[in-house]
Amino acid sequence: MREFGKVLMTAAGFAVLGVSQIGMGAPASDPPPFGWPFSGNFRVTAAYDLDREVGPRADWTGWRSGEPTAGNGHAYDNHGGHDWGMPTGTNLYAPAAGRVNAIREHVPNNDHSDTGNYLILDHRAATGTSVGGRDYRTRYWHLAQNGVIPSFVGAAVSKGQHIAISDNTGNSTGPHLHYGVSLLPGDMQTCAFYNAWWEHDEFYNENLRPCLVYLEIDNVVLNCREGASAAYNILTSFSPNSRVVATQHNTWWRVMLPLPPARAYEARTAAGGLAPGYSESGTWANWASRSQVMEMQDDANYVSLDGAGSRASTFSGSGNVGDVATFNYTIPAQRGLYDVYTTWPSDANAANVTYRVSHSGGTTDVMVDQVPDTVGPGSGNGTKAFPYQIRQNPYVVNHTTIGAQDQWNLYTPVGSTLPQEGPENLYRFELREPATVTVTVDHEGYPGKDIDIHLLSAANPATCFQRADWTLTANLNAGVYYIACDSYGVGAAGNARASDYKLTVTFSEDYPLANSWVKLGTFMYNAGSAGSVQVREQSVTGPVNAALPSRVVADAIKVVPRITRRSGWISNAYATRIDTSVDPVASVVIKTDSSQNNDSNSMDDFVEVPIYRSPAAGVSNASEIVGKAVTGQRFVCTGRAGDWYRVWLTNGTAATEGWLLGDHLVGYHLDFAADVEGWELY
Amino acid sequence: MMIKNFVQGCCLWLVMTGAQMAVADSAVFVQDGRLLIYENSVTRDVELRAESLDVSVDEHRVSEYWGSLDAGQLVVTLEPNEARDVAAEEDHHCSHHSPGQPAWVVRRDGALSGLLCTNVLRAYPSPVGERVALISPDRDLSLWDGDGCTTVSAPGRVSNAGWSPDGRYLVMSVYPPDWSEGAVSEARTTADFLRLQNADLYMLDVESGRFVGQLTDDPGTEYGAFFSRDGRSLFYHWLHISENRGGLMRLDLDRDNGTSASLPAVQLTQVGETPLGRVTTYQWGRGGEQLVFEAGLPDGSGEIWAMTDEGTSATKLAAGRKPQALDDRSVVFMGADGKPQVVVPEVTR
Repeated sequence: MREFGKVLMTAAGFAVLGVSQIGMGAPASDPPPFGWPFSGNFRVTAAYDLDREVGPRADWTGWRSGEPTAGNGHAYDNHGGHDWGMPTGTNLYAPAAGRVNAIREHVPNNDHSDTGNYLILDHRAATGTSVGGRDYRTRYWHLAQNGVIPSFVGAAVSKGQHIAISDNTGNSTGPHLHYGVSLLPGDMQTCAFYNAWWEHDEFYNENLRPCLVYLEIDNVVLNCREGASAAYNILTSFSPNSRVVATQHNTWWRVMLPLPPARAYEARTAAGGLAPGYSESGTWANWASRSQVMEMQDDANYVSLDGAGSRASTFSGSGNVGDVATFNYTIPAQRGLYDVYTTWPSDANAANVTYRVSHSGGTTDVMVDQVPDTVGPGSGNGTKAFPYQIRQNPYVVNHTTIGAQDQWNLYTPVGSTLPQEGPENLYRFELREPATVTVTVDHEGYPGKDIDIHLLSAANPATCFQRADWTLTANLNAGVYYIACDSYGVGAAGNARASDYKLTVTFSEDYPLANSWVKLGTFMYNAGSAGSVQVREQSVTGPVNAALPSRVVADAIKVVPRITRRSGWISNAYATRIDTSVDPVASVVIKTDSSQNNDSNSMDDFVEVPIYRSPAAGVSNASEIVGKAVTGQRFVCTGRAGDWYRVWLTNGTAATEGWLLGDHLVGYHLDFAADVEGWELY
Repeated sequence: MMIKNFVQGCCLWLVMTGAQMAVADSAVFVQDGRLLIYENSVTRDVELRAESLDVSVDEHRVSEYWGSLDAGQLVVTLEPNEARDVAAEEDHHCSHHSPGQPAWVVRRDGALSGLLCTNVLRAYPSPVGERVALISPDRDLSLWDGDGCTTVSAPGRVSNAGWSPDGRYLVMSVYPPDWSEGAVSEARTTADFLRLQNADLYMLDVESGRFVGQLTDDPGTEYGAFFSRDGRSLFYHWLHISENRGGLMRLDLDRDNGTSASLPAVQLTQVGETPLGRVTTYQWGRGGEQLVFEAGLPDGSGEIWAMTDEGTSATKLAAGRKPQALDDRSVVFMGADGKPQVVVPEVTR
């Protein structure tokens, strides 16, 4: 399953730093160190107030899109814990092993004492109950009379032990649990708990304090990575429909959960079969030779045409009718733009391959032409004539320049004065979409051994536009590129520095390489109910290189709903517009920067944007709040014809409004107070 | 603090229905927003009437009966209509702000005779004279003396109060000045959380309007104070701030002026062995030698208990709420069946 959740840990912009895995939630086989204080599902009635420091203002920390306003999880100002409304008598459990710090359990309900019952637990290393190497304290408040199980201060409790019963004692107008977590020794409450409300949002927490996060995962896999793309290592994965508790220390977090309906649906005929929402009919071109299906990599299946030699087929109408096959993807009842991809092997060795995409907007034939591959055969041998072909992300190989050909000596215009007279290996890759590429070479014996890397726009050293001793990163447009790993030095010195090495190439996009997915097009789906999109091969001619077999079959398609982002700083008296007739699903992310230093990291930058659905332009209807965008979080506006939305920007002391009319989202920034000087829609 | 062991003593008691036993005095209950006056073994359903006052009581319901003035008039709080509407809409919504309610003086025939204050959380009528101590939702204290209300500058937030038998002194439970209904939930540190649980007893000389003493200075919660019949001792609840300890305490006051403690407080009961009574439910019997009180249950209902003034022989009498002394022997309470019942507790030391 494609990943959706990411944990980014960044500082000073987007430089990726190290990550602490201490105490992080883990897969089911390795239970997270903190458990939940109850079982069952209860509604959050008041969330923890993240921005206590900024003074009195309304807080909506924790708010699911579409929730009505009252009593549904707002964090009222200064709220020091998390409230779950739950019936009196609900069993409560210890989230981790610990010892009792404080008990009160004898206050009756409906008393006039203004106190209530509570239980406070310590989870300390001193008693062998620290969590992930850190000391914590948990607090349960409003407990039932005689509803605390441990009987004395210092009593030991185990993780998951039944420790208390919920109620309504103390000042409270309804039965609920007030649950707080703090980190010792400072004993300051940690950041919020997130349960099922960020499934469509992006939460960005720059809390520099250690942080405990409770997450309820929707029907997706949540992968937490150490960096901002799928290229980074997965630290841990959370299973669908699960609850997890994760802790984070030292730096920042970003937890990204899927945007609706951002699953990249894939259908395959070989490995993995058909994903939900897909069906398959007909017979693919080489159905009889299905045994030849090769799982070349995770992203694409290869099916060779029958035999070698030229072939031209038409898969509809007369002719090879039996070759017609269709993937059918059922679109959810979600108006929007959808991108359609199919698999495409870079060594397809075919021309005029036409796919027919049928959808609610009509039928489009998309021709994908084979780029003549003159550098074959196979994956190459590292020479100018036959470079190694990079067709995987990440691409990791162990090669050597010992015994390799000495093909080039100087790379211009970058590195023109550096002697690279030793032997080198050449690599080639093709990007179908813009991407960021990171190239790293690693070897032992430096400086006696020295392998440098060079990035080229053609198989020519005069096209070198970037070089590095160990690693480089470049933002590249679509196109063909080459990497040379060359031994540094003049003459014999270059030969002497030849070495075994490890080359690692990673790409920021999931599928940028020409040998994987090919984008067939984008279509608008307007229907109010579920529709479908179909992809099939229409015609093909091949092979390009008569000496090699063709590989053309698209045996997998992917339909990806598109969410438009708009970016750009907005100042006073400036408005931006998202035309949702073109980009029907738009995300609003508020990014503020009081100091305008592009950090947006201070709680002083906190701003909230409730989004209303209103009956008409200029008409307020506060009862129909459909969501909100809070600094660092995203609200996705799904434009529906005839709907109006009001975007209300407020820092708690001043407010201004923008309007979303069906197809037009207009954001205004008019009169913020001094502590919020800008915000961003994208 | 000395902990006194609970000793099961001898207890004789008898429960009779109102129809079975004639009593001299009366009691007042609130049931489904209506006043029920139990008098001479008969229960009357009293309907509120506005009479000449420029108010409407058509939709008002009584939320709480707090006691009577010396002329027999009743002090009640009424449930505002809007509060009911909000309550009906809110499901599991928890806030930390109690709505203020109007407090009224009501004649025993149901006629509203005077509005004490519009924003009242709790009311404590003096046992003598025309005074009522009123506590607002913000836990401000004011005194109504028949002419109007006077706000009292207290050393903190006043939670509940009890009058001396002569009506001169008012003992109150006082939380820290920064306490509020939401402050405890807003506390970020445990130390702050526990600090806000600390309440001490202060005594106010009502005649002079001066606080004449801080009776307790304990890092715990002291509340629910009430006087002995002779006014020489003060009883109150004490709960340890963090340990599972507490109970009913007795503090003997200075015999000369009755306003300061003469000896350390004595712990009479221990939580877990004898239940805490709900605030304002303690009633004296047998010349001040026995106590009857309502112990609250987790489900919100109550039990009627009796014990000696030394905290011994604690015995559950019946299920019920709101015990009220009828005379020196009998106590009437609202039974679990919704009907007043009379009990004659007989606990011995």
